[in-house]
Amino acid sequence: MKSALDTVTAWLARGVIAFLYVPIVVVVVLSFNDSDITYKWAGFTTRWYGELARDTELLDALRVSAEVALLSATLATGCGLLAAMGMARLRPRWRAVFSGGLFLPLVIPEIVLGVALLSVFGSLHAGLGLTTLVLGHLVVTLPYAALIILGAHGALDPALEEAATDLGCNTWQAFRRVTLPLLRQALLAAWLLCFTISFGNIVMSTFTNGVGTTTLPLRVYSLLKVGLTPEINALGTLLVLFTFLIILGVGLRQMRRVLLGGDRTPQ
Amino acid sequence: MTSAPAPASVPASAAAPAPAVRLTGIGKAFGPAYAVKDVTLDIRQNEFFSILGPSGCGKTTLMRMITGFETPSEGTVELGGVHATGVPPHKRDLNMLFQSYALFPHLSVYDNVAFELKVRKHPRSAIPGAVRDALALVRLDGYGDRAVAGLSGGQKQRVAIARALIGRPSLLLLDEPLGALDQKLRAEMQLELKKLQREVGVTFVTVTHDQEEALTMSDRIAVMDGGRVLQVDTPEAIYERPATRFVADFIGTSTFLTGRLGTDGLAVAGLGTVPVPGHALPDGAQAHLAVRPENVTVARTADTLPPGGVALPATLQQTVYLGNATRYHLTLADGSELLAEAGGAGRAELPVGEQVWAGWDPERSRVLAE
Repeated sequence: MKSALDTVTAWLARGVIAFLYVPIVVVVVLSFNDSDITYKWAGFTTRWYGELARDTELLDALRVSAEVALLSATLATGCGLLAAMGMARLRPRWRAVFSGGLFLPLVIPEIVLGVALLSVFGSLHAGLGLTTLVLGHLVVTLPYAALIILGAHGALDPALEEAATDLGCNTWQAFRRVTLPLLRQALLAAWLLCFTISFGNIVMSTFTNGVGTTTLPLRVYSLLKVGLTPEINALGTLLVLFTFLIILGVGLRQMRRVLLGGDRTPQ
Repeated sequence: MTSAPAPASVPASAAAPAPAVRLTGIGKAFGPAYAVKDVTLDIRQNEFFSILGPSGCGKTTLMRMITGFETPSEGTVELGGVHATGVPPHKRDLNMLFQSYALFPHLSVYDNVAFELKVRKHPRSAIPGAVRDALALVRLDGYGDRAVAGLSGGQKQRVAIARALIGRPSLLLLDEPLGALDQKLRAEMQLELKKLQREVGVTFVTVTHDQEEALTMSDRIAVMDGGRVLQVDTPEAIYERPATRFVADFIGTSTFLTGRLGTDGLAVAGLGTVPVPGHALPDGAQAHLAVRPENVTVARTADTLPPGGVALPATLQQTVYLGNATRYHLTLADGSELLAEAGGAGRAELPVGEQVWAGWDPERSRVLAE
C-alpha cells in the first residue's frame, strides 16, 4: 500500500533530481542555440564552439584553471596521504589535536583564509602567480582530501601492514604492495573532489591570482560585467562531457573490479 | 625464506639443538607500567607451545616481542640460537597468523598465498607449484582464483595458514587462532592445527585465553598472569600439578581450603585438620589445599565414601546438571564452598539443603603456597 506520504516524498525526490540536473541540460541545449540572447531558442548551430576555439583569453583561463586544479589536487592528495600515515603512528591524544588542526580550515570562511593568505604572501614579498594560486587552493582542498583519506586509512586493519612486514616487506614494500592499493579508491576520490573544488573556486582565486594567471571562474565572472556570450555554454557543455567521461572511466573500472573480484596487480 | 642477515652468533651448544625461541629476562614497559616483566623461557624446536592467560596478562605483548613488532625494554630474544633483539620483523625467520587473519583484500587467494615468495624474490617459475602445495596442505585446492571477501571464516583462516607457512618459517606464531570460529569448527581446527604442526615440522607458538584450546593442542603450556610466566609445563602437569593458586584456579576448576600446615595435615579453622599429600612447604606455613571437583565424591553417609580418604560433613546447596556430569555445590562446616562433580554411574540423587559427606583421596589434592 502506498501512503500519501510515500507519494509526496517520491515527487519530492523527483523534484530534487530535476533541480540538480535541469541546469546541466539547459547549458547543453543552449550551447547549440543560434541566438546571442542565451535564453531564447532560435535554431540549431555549432558556431559557439567555433568562437570558443578562437577565444584565446577564455582558453588561457581554462588552461590556468586546469593547471592549478591538477597541481593543487595532486598536492592535497599527497599531503592527505602523508597526514593519514603519520597520524596513524601518533598517540591518540596527539592524533586528535592534529586532526583538529587539519580540519579547522573547513569551518573558517574562505574569504578570511583568502585575506589572511594575501597578507602572508605580501609580508613575504611573494609575487602573486601560479605558485600562490596553487598554495591558496591547497589550503582550501587539503581538509577535504585529508577527510577522505584519513577515513579510509583509519578503516584499514592495522594488522594488514604488520602482516606484510611479517611476510618479508620492508616499510616501503608494505606501503607499495598493501597500503597504497587498498587506499587507491580513496585517493582517486580525494583527487577528483579536490580537482573539482579547485577548478570551480572563485573566492581564494580572487586573492591569490596574479597577472596572467586568471582562472576560468574569474574570467567568466568578469565577463558578466560586459555580457555573457553563449560560448560560455559551449565551454560548460564540454566540461560536462569531460566530467562525464571521467566518471564513466572510473565507474567502468569499479565495475570490472566487482565483476572479476579484485584486480591482479601486475608484478 | 631468506635467513636473517643479522650478525649471527654461534649457537650456545653444538650438541643439543638451539631452542626455537629463547627469552632471557625479557620485559616490556608502556610508560611506567610493565605489560611483561622478567620472563625467561625456552621454546623447543618443533614444539607446539601455548602461552595461556587471561586478557591483559601480557601474552600478546610477549608474542609481539618474539615477532619483532615490539622491542623489549629489557632482556634478550634469541631465535634458533641467533640473537634477534632489535632485528626487524621482515628479517626474522618466522611468520604470524593474525587473529583477524589480515588477508589482503585487494588480492586473490592465490596472490595472498604467493605474497611472501614474490616479496622475497623467489624464482617466478617455482611460485605456482608452491602455492598449489600450500593450498593443498590446508585442503583448499582450486581456491586460488577466489576473492578473499567471498570466503567463510574457516576458509579465511586456512588461507592465512597457507600464506604463513609457504615460506617454510622455522616458527609460526598464532594469535588466538580459534577465537573467531564457532564452537564446532573450533574443535575441528584444534585437531587440525595439531596435525598440521606435526606434518610440517614447524614450531608453533599459540597465544590463547582458552584453556581447553591450550590443553588439547599443546606439547607445553606457559601460564601467564600480570605480565609474568607462572608455570611452564605439559598440559597434564599444568592440570594435575599446578604450581600456584592462580594456575589451579585458571586451568580447570578448583576449590581451595586455606589454613596452616602441620605434621598431620592442613589445620583449617572451623574444620579441623585435613590430610594433605606430600609437599615441599615448611610446617607452620600458610597454605591452600586445591581440590578438583571431579576428584571429590559426595555421599549420603561417611561410610559410603571410598575408604582411606578425607571425609568431611557438608551441606548440599545446589546441584547443577551439566549434561556429561552433575555438579554439586557444597558448604563445609567452616562456611567455605566446595565443588564436587560426578559423571555417569557416579551420579547420585542427593537431597538439596541437607547434610551429606564429601571426600577425596589426599593424593589427588595439592598443597600450594599462600
